[in-house]
Amino acid sequence: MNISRDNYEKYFLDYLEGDLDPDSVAELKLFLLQNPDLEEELQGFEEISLEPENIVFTEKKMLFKPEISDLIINESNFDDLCIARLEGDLTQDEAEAFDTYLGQNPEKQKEYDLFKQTVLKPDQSDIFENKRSLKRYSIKTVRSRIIYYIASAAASVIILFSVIYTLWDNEQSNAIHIADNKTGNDEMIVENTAPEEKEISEEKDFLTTTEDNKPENSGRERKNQKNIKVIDIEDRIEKPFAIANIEDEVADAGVPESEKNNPLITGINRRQVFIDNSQTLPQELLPRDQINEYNNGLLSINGDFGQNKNIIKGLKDISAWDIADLSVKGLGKLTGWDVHMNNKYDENGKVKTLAINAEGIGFSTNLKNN
Amino acid sequence: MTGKEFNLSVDKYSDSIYRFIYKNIRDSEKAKDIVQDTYEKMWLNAGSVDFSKAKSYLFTTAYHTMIDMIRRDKKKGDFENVRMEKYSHTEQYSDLNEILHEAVGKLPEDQRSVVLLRDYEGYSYKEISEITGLNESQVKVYIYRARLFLKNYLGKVEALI
Repeated sequence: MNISRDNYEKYFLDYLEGDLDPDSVAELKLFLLQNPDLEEELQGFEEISLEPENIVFTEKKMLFKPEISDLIINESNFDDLCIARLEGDLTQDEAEAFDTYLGQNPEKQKEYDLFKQTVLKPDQSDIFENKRSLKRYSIKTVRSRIIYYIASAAASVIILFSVIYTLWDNEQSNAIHIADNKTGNDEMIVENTAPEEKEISEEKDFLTTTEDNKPENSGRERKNQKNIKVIDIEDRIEKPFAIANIEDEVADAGVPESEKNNPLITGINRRQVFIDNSQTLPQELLPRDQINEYNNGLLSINGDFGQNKNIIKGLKDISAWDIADLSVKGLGKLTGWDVHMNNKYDENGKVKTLAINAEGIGFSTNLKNN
Repeated sequence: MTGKEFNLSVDKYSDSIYRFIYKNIRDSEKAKDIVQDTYEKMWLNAGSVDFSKAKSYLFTTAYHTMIDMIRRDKKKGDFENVRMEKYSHTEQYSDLNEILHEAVGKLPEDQRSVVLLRDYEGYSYKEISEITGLNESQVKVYIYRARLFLKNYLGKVEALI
């Protein structure tokens, strides 16, 4: 037992104030049974209680502080107070006290007015004029998946339609350009003539020549053709050709395989040959350096621009750039705009800069070729 | 920040930035260059700058670009001459404004920058400290010193008049 005659008062106080836990209360009662005289003492404590009296402090006024700040203003701090007043660094009380002081001292008011004039005001006539040069206009990234899919589908349809339209248009036009022989251009018209006769004289421009300067297999490729028309490169091709497989054509002409890439075969210097109403597709014979934006579409469908290869290739060799070029031309046809691709190529013949020109407006971007 | 927001920031803040830089360095062409550089830098970081922070970003970038240019030109030894000789504002100032403008030109760079940010843009001490890299106490001291200098300058001129 913790309670003893030496410390019972503490337990009595806790018991009277209700701070004893049940175990301690039981222990206290046991102690009181063992010490009856102390039980009488505890009972005496229970009878004593004090009631609070209503006593009021009558001198409260002496305790109150004055509400107006007693700001100390003197020569040493007047400038700082002026600036603080301007900057809003004073409390409301301090500001009122300072204003009161200024009101009572006109010469100080003048000094404060001088401080007020140091507040700078922006000159609104100072403006940055060429704001347009700062702005950026970029293609907005379409975040909406739905809009993205719709736009992708629409673009695919437009490209497909442009390609189909271009191909259809090529078939419809058999590239009839009649050059005026009288204009003095370096061009000839061969029409309704004896194919063999004319071809022999012209074929040296088309085919490889042998040592004795006679064209090999001369005439064969022209035998079954009629109305051969030759125009100068200066006459623009308004309607592109359909795709031709030059390999087949050259083979038909009997040109040796090794000569297929011979520029004399694949390109007549500054001449183009069109075949009118021919069942076979025309052979586009255009020197590599003559390819330009006006005839580089179907006429020179060759992914390896810049290389001395066959200009016209089969459908199996058409690249994505070919499709792009077809679609751009198709769009131009549909809209009536002068739209064409004008890509730039690196030394490997790969497209390094994609460029599209339309009605005097050009867009270009550099491509990364890995 | 989207492209649209970027262009909106051009309309909203380019004049303020130009004015701040121009009043600091007193060279219209260099001020334009700094504005161009500032917006170019923000464009490069457009993806990480929120439009709500565009103004503070622009002023911070412009301020530091200006300081770099000032230090670079000081090394070349021609900046002080440029400051005084290339001042070519055509507007006719009133007497007081002209005097004040001259006085501002005589302030040290730090004091001039902070007082311009305070009066032109209404920035708080804290905002000015974030823009300039100074602590708030320094900003407050610089503003106090600047005002005292300007007041004394005006007082002397008025006394002469």
